[in-house]
Amino acid sequence: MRNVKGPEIKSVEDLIGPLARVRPGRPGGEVSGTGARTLLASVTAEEPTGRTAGDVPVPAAVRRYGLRRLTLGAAAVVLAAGFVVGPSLLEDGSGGAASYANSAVAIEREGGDYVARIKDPFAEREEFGEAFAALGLKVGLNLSPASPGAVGEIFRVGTSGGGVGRGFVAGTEPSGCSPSEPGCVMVLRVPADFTGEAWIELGRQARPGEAYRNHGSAVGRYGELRGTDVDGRPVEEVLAEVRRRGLQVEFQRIIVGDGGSLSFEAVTAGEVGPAWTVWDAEAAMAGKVRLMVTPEKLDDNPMYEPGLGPGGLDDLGESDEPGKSGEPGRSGGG
Amino acid sequence: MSDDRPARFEAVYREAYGRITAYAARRCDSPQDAADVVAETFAVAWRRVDELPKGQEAVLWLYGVARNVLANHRRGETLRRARSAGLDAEMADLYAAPADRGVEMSVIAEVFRNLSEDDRELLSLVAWEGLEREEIATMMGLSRNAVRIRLHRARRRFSRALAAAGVPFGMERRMVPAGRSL
Repeated sequence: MRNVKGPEIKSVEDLIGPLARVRPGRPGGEVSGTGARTLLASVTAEEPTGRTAGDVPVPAAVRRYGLRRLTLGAAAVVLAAGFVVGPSLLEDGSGGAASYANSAVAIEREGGDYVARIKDPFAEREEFGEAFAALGLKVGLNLSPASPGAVGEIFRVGTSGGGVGRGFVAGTEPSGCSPSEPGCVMVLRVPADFTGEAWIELGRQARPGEAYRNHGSAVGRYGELRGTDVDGRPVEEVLAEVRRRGLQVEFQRIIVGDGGSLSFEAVTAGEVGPAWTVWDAEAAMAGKVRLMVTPEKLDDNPMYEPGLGPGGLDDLGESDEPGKSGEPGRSGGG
Repeated sequence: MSDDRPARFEAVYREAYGRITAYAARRCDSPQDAADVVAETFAVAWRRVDELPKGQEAVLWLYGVARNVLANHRRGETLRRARSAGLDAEMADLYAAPADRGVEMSVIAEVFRNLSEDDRELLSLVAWEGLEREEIATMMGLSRNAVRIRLHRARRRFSRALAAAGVPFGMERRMVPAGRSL
């Protein structure tokens, strides 16, 4: 796993694993034991009441990772009835909702949301736009090739005007399935009371040889360098691992500007010296990674330092798969 | 329609019990405290069963509840501690340390204990609960990027504190448990 790295460095987690009272990977109590059964019985003896005084808060809506919510304010304006007539435009009788389907997408009103089920991830944006427009929604949806971890995720979104207290939510049906599996459908929920204009880029599987449009991690769970620690390592060491895994590589130089702003510049392998420093590795396309490098070794990783561009700790609205997209100076990837 | 709630809860309970008890035991100084945290976690979860997510996310949600319960518990404990600090030290000697813990491990343990609670929790979730960054993000309601940054910093602070305490990296391999990379 960490075989690129010399033997002198190991992960800090390796050090603290043995400190755990219950060894990592081991269960604590035995669920079939008396204690566990008694607790279950006593807990469920009462009707579930919802929150009671003194309870700790529970996690808010658990989100699929990478999922994006936009909170744009609280003004709620209910959409008026009477939409453009489309191939299968249906009103639900309440006068405030409708459905629409074409070969690319089927959109239905479900509660407070319009739920768009993607029928053809490779369809042109015009077809998605037509469907939303038929329901009175100014939503521009584009499905773009994305690294495996970001398929089915919103990785870029922009809005103008409108007022919703909730957000655009991407998911899959059946719940939690992977969009690459047969029968798994990508779903986008749009608040029905969204009155503004939105542009949403949703990740789809890449065709062979197609560059990813997002900036997904190459070392994360879905990355082809999964498990490799690249942060602060010399190019030659990381390249050895890249080659060992039979991957291709491209480079982007990180340029730290005044005040810590970051920009990125594509550089050729010939320009990059073996002693340059790698700070991050991104998935460029299937079989190819993009190493983010600087000629000199900096004290800290510029991608993650506080106040230095994309990694700023306050930048909580973005996630790492798509998160680095959309920043000034960032090239489209691949 | 609410009739499936007990069955659904029980299924999640069975799935999560081992992990939640381990989570509590790894963080509580006494078995009584750990038991309290486990019981309260599941009690809260049952009361909020309508909010219980489906699938694997349910366990992450429960970790999140357990974390809040534990934090609550610690706040109470801090108040008690203020009154019984002296006694605590005495009791700590009685609360036997594992015999096989070498000097080096004691130093690592000490450095680890002195990290901020947030850093300790993040590193523990990786090293002890074996959670991936994405899962921690889900559990804590943070973006993956935020988790990545925080982990990066926690690891760095820990490394620096270790170095300051004279523990170099690259110690004997025998200490490597189920190794995880980030």
